[in-house]
Amino acid sequence: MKLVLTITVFLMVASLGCVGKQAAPGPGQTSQGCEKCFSAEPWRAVHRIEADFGPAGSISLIGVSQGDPVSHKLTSVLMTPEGFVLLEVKQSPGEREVLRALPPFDKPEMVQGMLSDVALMFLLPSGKPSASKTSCRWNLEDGGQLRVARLPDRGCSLELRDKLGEMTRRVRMDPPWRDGFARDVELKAMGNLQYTLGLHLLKLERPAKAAALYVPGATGGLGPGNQQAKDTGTWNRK
Amino acid sequence: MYRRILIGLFAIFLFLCLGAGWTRDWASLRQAGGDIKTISANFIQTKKLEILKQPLVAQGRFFYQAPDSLRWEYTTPVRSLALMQAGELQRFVWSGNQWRADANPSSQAMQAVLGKMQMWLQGSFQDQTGFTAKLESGPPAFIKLEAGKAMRPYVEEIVLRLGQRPGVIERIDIREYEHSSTRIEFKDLKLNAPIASEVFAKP
Repeated sequence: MKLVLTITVFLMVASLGCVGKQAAPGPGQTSQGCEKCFSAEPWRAVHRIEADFGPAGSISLIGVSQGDPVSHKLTSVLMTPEGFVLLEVKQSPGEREVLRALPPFDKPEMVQGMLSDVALMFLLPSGKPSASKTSCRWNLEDGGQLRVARLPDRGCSLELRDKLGEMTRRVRMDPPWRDGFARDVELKAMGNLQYTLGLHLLKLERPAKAAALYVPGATGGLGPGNQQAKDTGTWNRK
Repeated sequence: MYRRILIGLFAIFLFLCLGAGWTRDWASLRQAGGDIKTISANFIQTKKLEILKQPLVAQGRFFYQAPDSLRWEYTTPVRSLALMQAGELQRFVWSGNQWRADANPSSQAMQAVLGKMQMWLQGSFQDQTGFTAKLESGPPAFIKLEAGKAMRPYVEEIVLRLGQRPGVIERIDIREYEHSSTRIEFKDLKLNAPIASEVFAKP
């Protein structure tokens, strides 16, 4: 009987200890786990994209994106399902280079909108958020706010509001997860141009940490010759 | 400009439908094209992008029936379908376990391009808008389509490698721009075999 009691007490203490460990956020982490909605390391991903413009119809695209959560560098390629490249653009803070842009993606506002959506979905915002019990809130440079919340089903919810408090984007990320990427993501754009983007992850490459971000024409980056990159292959529930 | 680019890209359809014959001059190609009634083939498309270490590989099927029926279908990784019937192009994407019409902005241009197929089927290789065609007898024989100034923002070059069998295109290489190229390799190709009419019907 003493043995049973001892084991029970031990398990209770151990259990409490585990809870305590889980609740303590590490450096750069929030107690809400908002950062888990984004990849913590550089990534390259291929998505099938379905863009629904309501009465105007819907189109399918293939998107290739590459990003670095630390430097906030981003490269995006949009193709037709047949593989014809409509847009290739890379961006780093304060700088943007359009390498190819065909209609309708040859308009600066289209490029800006596309990059903003990619960054919203896949890059952890800069700065420290203010946190409530269930979500995190970032005050953005343009006066807007981004609210990120983990959902009970292990998905994530993002809400972007402009400086007037009007919601402009709502994102839903659904499990399973693969190295910081949800298999399915839905973005709803509100405002003057309303649309819905449905993204399905087809492929995820995890470049080596030491590798530089992709620089067109350069060697040793994330171009085809870089053997340090690897394709990750497991899903998890995060 | 979409019209022009797609004219170039769908030159591949043209050549397939042409059933590029096996000879050393344009006249023989035209003659071989006239013998083609149907074509069906599977294909593997390998897309190289400088941003990606590994290429994107897609597979699909191709059907043609003279004079103006065409089906170009990707089966993986993204199912999509382009149908050309009597001059009308329709595009579909597999979504939610059914085919859904796709309103891709390039559709209108694609229709215009495919509409020129009849001319191409008559073997008018050298009359392609925006490209300069060169025939190399090989072996392996190939046709090189170099984009003119107006086309170069969209496609730089298309190379068709001709097989030993008359009317067979083995491979198509498309160089869009510095960071992107596409190779389409055909296999299981059948010439003049019956094709069910449902193949070209709207799903």
